[in-house]
Amino acid sequence: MRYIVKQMLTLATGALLLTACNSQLDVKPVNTIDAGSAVATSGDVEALLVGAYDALGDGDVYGGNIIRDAELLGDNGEIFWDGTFVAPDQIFRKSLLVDNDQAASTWLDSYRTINIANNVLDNLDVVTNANRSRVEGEAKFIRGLVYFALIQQYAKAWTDGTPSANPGVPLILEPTTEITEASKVSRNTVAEVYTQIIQDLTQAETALPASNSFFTTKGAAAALLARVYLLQGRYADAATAATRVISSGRYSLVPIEDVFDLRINQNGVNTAEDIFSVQVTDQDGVNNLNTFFASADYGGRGDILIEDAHLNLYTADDLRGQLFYDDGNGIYTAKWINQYGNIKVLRLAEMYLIRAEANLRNNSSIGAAPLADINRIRTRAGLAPLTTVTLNNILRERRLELAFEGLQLYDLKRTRSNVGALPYNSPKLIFPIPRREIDANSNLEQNAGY
Amino acid sequence: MKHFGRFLGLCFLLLGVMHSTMAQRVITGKVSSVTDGTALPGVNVVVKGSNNGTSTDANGQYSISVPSGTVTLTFSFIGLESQDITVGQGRSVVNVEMAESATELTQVVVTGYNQTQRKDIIGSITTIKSDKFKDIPVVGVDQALQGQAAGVQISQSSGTPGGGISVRIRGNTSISASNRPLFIVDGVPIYDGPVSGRSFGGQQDNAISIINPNDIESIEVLKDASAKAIYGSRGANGVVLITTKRGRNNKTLITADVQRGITDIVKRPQVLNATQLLELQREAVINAGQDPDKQGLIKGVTDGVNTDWVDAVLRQGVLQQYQISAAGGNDRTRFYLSGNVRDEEGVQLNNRFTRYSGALNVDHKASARLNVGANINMSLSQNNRVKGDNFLDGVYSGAIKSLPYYSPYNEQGELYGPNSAGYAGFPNFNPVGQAVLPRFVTYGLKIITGVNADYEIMKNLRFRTKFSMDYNNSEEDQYEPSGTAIGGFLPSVGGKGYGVYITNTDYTIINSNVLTYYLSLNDTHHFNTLLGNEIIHSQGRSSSVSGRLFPSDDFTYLNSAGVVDAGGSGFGQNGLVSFFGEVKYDFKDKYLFGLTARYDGSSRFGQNRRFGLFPSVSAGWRVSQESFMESLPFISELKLRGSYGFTGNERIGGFQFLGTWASVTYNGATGVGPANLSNPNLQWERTREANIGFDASLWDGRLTVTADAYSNLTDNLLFAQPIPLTTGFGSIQGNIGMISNKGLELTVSTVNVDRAVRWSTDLNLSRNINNVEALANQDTLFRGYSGNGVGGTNAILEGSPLGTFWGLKFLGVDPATGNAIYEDINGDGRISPDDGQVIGTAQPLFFGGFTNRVSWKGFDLSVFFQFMYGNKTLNFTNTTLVNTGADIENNQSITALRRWQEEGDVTDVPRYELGNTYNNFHSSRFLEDGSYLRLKNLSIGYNLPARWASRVKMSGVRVFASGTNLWTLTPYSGADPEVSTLDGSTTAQGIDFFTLPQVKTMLLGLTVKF
Repeated sequence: MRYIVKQMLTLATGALLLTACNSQLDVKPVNTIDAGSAVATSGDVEALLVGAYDALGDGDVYGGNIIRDAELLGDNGEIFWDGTFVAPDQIFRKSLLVDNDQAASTWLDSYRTINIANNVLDNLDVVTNANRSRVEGEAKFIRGLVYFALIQQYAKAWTDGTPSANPGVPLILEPTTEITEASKVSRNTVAEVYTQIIQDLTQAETALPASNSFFTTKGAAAALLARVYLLQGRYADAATAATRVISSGRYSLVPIEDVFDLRINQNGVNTAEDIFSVQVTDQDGVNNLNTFFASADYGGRGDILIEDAHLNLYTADDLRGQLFYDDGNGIYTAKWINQYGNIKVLRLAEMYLIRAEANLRNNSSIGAAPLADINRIRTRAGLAPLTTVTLNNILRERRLELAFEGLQLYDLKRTRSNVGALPYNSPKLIFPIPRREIDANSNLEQNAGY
Repeated sequence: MKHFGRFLGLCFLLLGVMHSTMAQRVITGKVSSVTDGTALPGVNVVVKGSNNGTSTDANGQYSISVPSGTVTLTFSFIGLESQDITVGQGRSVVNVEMAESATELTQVVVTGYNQTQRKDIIGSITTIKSDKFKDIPVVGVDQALQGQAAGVQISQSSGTPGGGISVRIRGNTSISASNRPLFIVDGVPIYDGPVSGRSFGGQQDNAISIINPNDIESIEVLKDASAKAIYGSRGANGVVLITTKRGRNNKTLITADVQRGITDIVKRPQVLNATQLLELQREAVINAGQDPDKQGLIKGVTDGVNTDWVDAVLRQGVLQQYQISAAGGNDRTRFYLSGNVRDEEGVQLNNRFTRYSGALNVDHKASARLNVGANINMSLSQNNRVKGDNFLDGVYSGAIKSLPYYSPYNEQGELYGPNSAGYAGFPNFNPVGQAVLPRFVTYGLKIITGVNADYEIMKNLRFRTKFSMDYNNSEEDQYEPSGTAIGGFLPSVGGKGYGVYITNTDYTIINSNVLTYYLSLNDTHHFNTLLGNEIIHSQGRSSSVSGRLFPSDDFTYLNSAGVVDAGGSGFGQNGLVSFFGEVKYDFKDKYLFGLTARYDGSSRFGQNRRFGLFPSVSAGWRVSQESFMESLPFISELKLRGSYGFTGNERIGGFQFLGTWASVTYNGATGVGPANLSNPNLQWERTREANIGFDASLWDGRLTVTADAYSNLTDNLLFAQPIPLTTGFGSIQGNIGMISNKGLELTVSTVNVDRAVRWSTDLNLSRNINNVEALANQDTLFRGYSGNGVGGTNAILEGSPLGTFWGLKFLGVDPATGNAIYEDINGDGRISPDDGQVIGTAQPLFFGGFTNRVSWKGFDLSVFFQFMYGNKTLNFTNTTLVNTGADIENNQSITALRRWQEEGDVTDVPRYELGNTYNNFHSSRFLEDGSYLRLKNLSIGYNLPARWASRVKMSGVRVFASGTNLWTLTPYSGADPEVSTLDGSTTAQGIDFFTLPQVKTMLLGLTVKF
């Protein structure tokens, strides 16, 4: 009897001890990995870099909405927002509220991208020597591109007041590992942010290879620098940077009907003209420009209609005037008709336009004369070449060539032009710092007008 | 452990001493049942005041040695009324007839890892015996609980068979984690979520509906800390213990049960016919300054067809259920086995739920000390589902909205498909086609099984061990042909047919080991103690694959798909390791004390907070045992109870504490990105519970009353804590915020007449006040649907309950203009989302159930009402059906006939104007009183007299007729206030959005016993 009791107790105790083993509780996730063990090898860092591209391609970043919102907020009566979503409707009507959820989403997803890029840059030491320079260049390009988008959307324009005094956006250059008081950052000045952007892009241009599949290249960094310099009025630098892209010989203008992906439901491809584009396929990526600019027949919501005011800008022989279609409810742009098409961030035509404008304003002919550059764009569009060129010629050509590609608002601000009845420096043309963000971080200063 | 061993040794020593005092004479006899005279084996026979005892053998015979002189023998058996019989010196044969326990108070109650008599319970536990729902054709045990227990609020989300049911015990404790109670079947925590992996527009299916409720003996609902603390981190939402039927040691009883009946929708939605709609639409177009003829709204042409779409997709369903069971055994082996088929046609075409189930429970007494047992409960289900609610291609939802101008079929009798002129498609799709064409079959398999052993180490010290498993598998076989919205309308989705195959497997393996010890000192101090541990391991696996572009609709499986372009698989697991103990002490059966604690370790929490302790204390005073109560003889039992303790909620999903990186792809390149920031301090939601109550039984049980008052506070709420977005993360899971639930519960049972006619009444009434006490967010958190013109239909706000409705406040219709008037709360002269406010709550003021039972000779009648009062139901359907002309693509409710038409009209329905969305802003216009009183069940039965039955060699024959949901009293204008489109939602409950109303059932049944 006593023996049995003893045995039973031993058994029971054994069971208790056995089960006390904590290993039962150490289950591991399968679809995610523990952040602590995520970056150990060069392959891990490169996977992280792919993650940065994926984040860059998020619908709220360069998956489309950054470009869409620059067109909606910068619209001068050439398009009409016919959608039901509240946030873009407020943007279109230039009456954003502090809780506009697009303002919050773009902010979050942009900083999410920056954080991944920062993670890559923080772990460059484990990348193999052969790849380190490229990886660094790609991460810096992505970080520079996103900061450029943020500074334009959430802060006063470079042309508005004193950039070294105007609040910009917080510069976060280290990866986030934990939440501390230091996470409650303040806004850097506009000038500081631009300095960082130029530094990132300059280093990226040095570090990047000339060719790099559909990822970023030396040319992409130079092209973005050209855009930044033009915006800052550094015309010689802009023309020089654009020339570096053009004369690299890696890109060429394609026939006008091939510039945009007019196929339907096909995986995106880059053309010879594309310098950098966000990749979209039917398996991954999202083309929010299709979502909002394309009609329901082509997988979109049909929210953005093109008004006659825009269509009337094209002369009859302008081939670009044919990049529109009517689905019965209204006119849509065909630029984003392929729902799996890539989103073009930088293409060669813009480089000619930048160089032409920069040279004209600078009274120089870096790379080529402004007339030659503008006529390249015109003749490709089926138009007769000009014999003389004015600034207005160039700006009008820019508007027609780059319509709905996310440059409208910033071109207007850069040229100090009105947006409808609003002056270029109206606070209504700047996104609010998201209210939620101000609530979570008392160190952030809200933009004027909110 | 060492000390415990010594203590055991001491006990043995004591036993030895006791056994040495031998008796001088022998008493023998037989114990039989007072009802049918059968022998009762296993009855304990004890000489009162000693440890000297025996039990009856298979034939009910016993023999016991007793000291000389007059002795008192106590006969006891679980479930039977104990008897004390004084035996004089001269008597040596004592035959006893025992009766089943007459009062609730001596009934056996299962309390987690133990069982006890009701009189010894200090916690708040409601027991529901299976006879309370035996005539109601409930599909699952959750449905069986509706209206039966105070504090238990149950709403069926829709009339879809096998569909989701919301079960809340003492309110909602959580925003992010599950609010469902823990369901335990024979000691096995079971998976109770949806089995399907695909959304059907709102309504989910329900794993609990795969368990056959007819195999259930009783259900115990544990409601306060004293009862639940033994379940620790899983107890905060209450615990439902389900005990299945087991064999008894008597002759084998075979029961056959047949039920067959019809089902129909409780009420049809009232929509306009073609002529009424055309008139309305023309008016809307004219009011917008346009020409209705140019819109194709031509009198005599457009309304040439008048289809009643609701009629076209609904039918009367047939419900049938067949069950055969056998129970019996002898003094060594007892068994229960059953087989059941249930088949319910939904009221929507092509909707059907069929279940095949079987159970086998065996208990075997291997030796005087060792009992072993096994149980297996297995069910297969086939659920033919249809889409609904929020899906444009739903069936019932599509039928309400469809314009009566269209027909389902063309002249050749073929269904109109999408893109055909006969039925245009978007935004509505031919609902008849959507019902009959697709194949949405979910095959479910659920196995609950276990083996257990119970060893009596020494008298009153028992060791029980149990290995069990709950296994759930579902396979979803789906095909939407080219005639459907998904399969044919959008080339980018299906194009030519769309096929999906999904599998899901969830299982739990559990081992529990429990030592129990009962100690009685001088028959004044009684200790009932328990010590145990448990390990639970759960695993989930899933896979899915979909394809499109099929050669034709004759090929419906993915082997034939032109493109198989989406798929995935997943795996997840979690573990729980626990230790628990319980000490129940009473002094002379008068003063009761309890101490319970569980120590849980869960894989769902970070290293720093992995383990948690959940203690509770309780005390009870059986006032009726006091001598001063003898002057009040009509009080047969009065007990005051109180408890205080802590429980937790760990159901937050896995790995929320862990900083994780997730995989991503970019144009075929695979990569990773941060998904989650770590929070090693993440811990359980903790609920502090306090409960006081009393149980009273008066006039020998003619009136029993149980009342409870409780105050619970949940803190450490699991919630996404906002952090600066500049970190690259939106939030981390944190423990912030508090929710309180305070309430009152009352249960009254009376036996009004107890003669030839027996009439009894049960009433339960509950009031729960839910309140969000603290939140980390300053912003209003919108939940539910996005509302037109406001932030959302629901909001989570400090100081408001969960389930708060948000919207503009509708002040009426301006008689001059016919436009809606909304309250401009910020006074800025315009109506904007900033004018949104709290407009009501889905939480009722009180709810309960009311049952009357009358029996006379062989007849029995049961009338069961269930009610809810003071809750609001959001008639979100009317944002489409009374849309004041926002569009003319949907049919309208007859409410629209009350619309404002000309100056001076005083009405509550604004003017119809095509394209005007202002009048259709989301407002209190759509919020209605959702109170209801429902005749949940009415059943009449007749038991054939035993002498008739025995002529055909049967021991009992009962025929009955039963009806459910026969009558409803409600001010709600929609078809049914008891629906919830966001099935399972806590923050957005009680929204009717094209949700299929409940069904009423009328059936005839026959029960035969051999």
